[in-house]
Amino acid sequence: MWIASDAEAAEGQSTAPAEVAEESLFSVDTGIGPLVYRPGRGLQVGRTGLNIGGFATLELQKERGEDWQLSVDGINFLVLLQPIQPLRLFMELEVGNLFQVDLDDGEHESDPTANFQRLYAEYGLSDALNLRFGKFQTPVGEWNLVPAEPFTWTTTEPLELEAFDEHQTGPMLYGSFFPGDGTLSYWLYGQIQDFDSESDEDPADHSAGARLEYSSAGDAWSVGSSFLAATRDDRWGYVGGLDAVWRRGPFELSSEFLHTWGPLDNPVRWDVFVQGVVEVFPSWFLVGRYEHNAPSGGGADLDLGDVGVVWKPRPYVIFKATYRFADHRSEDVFEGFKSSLAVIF
Amino acid sequence: MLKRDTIQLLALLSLTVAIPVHAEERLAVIVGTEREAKLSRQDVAQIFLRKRRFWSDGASIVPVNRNAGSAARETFTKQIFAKEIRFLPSYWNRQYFQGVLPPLTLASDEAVRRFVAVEADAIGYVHESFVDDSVRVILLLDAATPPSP
Repeated sequence: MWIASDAEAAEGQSTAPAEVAEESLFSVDTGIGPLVYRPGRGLQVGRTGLNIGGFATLELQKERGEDWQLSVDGINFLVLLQPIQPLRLFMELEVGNLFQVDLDDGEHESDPTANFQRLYAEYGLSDALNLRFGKFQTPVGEWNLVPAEPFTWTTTEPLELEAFDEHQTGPMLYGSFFPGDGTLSYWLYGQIQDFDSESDEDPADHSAGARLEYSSAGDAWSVGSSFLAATRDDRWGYVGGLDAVWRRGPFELSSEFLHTWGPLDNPVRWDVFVQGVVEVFPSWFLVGRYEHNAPSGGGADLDLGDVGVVWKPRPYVIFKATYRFADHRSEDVFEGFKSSLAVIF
Repeated sequence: MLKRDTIQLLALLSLTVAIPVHAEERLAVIVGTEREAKLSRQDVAQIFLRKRRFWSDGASIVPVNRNAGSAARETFTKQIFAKEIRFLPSYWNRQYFQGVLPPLTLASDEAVRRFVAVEADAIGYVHESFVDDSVRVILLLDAATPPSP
């Protein structure tokens, strides 16, 4: 097995992947400025401050004891409008459940749905103070900040994500300070009302949360801690967590720990995972993750192992294959093979 | 006549000599002449990763990169992001998901200098020989010197 060294990382070939996604596929002059499309970075609409892009995912999976399934998981559109510098409007619209076919018996279904995964406006007063209002990712841990398929190293997700709502709808304050050579970032947020009651996510009635993170100047490592209190039907539940990421040359190591408590029933009592990634050949990565999950309600603890390979022929084209195994069967936990082809456009 | 020929020859020689020397030339990180700023290498990294987005007077920072594949870009990337280069594509993909786009790019040192000279909130980098009175140098990066750990 070939593993690239730091010295090689600092030589010519290593800068190429970051740069590829900057090349424009086309550029057309219009009355409002140039329309420029960059694969993986979207369509820039002249001088309007509008950028339209997104990602799409195709999945092939074989859950243990089930048939092979092929599905077009969804197309997500990312729309950013920045009419003036401090003001940003951002939207992620997901068109999901497009198509699924059972490859063994040919049965197929298509039930397209559309919903706003995120929709918010924010105003930046300074690095230390930004105001946001709308629907956004819940900042608990590193994973849930960017949990979408093309941006993670495995096709499977850690079970810790079941301990809290993926999104919050309400206000947020966030910002960064720069002590020493690093970046100290904070997030303060809440859900003031269940604005999304039609969604099948069944979000909390109210919530309040905070996250604090310190990262090194070049993003070589970071540590974070998160807290979230949420209520449903006047019963409160709490989530606390710690996370860390370390990168050096071809290696990346990350870990998250999460603990829940309070009268609100939570499917997770505590959870921890450790994940390692190594680039073995240019654009080829091996991934391994171990997770220990302690469910609430007296169920047996679960040990999960995920091993996988990732190939990124371009920064915006990602092939992933992951196999997950568990120490025992659990009804709600995926076990088996799952692969995906994701394109960021 | 001889003098003019000599000058032309020297000019031609200077061009041919300038090409290899240019690659070893230092990079100057530049801002507009009105911009009061003292930045370290780590500050510049934070700016070009779009983590630091405001100048101390509250104006939005406009970082400008050289185009992909240019010698200046390669030197800058090595010097500023030495140990994390390999994960930059993933970093920018994650930022894209969060609605943050990488710095704009320009195709030449000349274009960067002219942009920074007229855009008061901009920061860019050029080879040192392209620096003139229209911009102010706040950091020098030596292509031959390995980046700090």
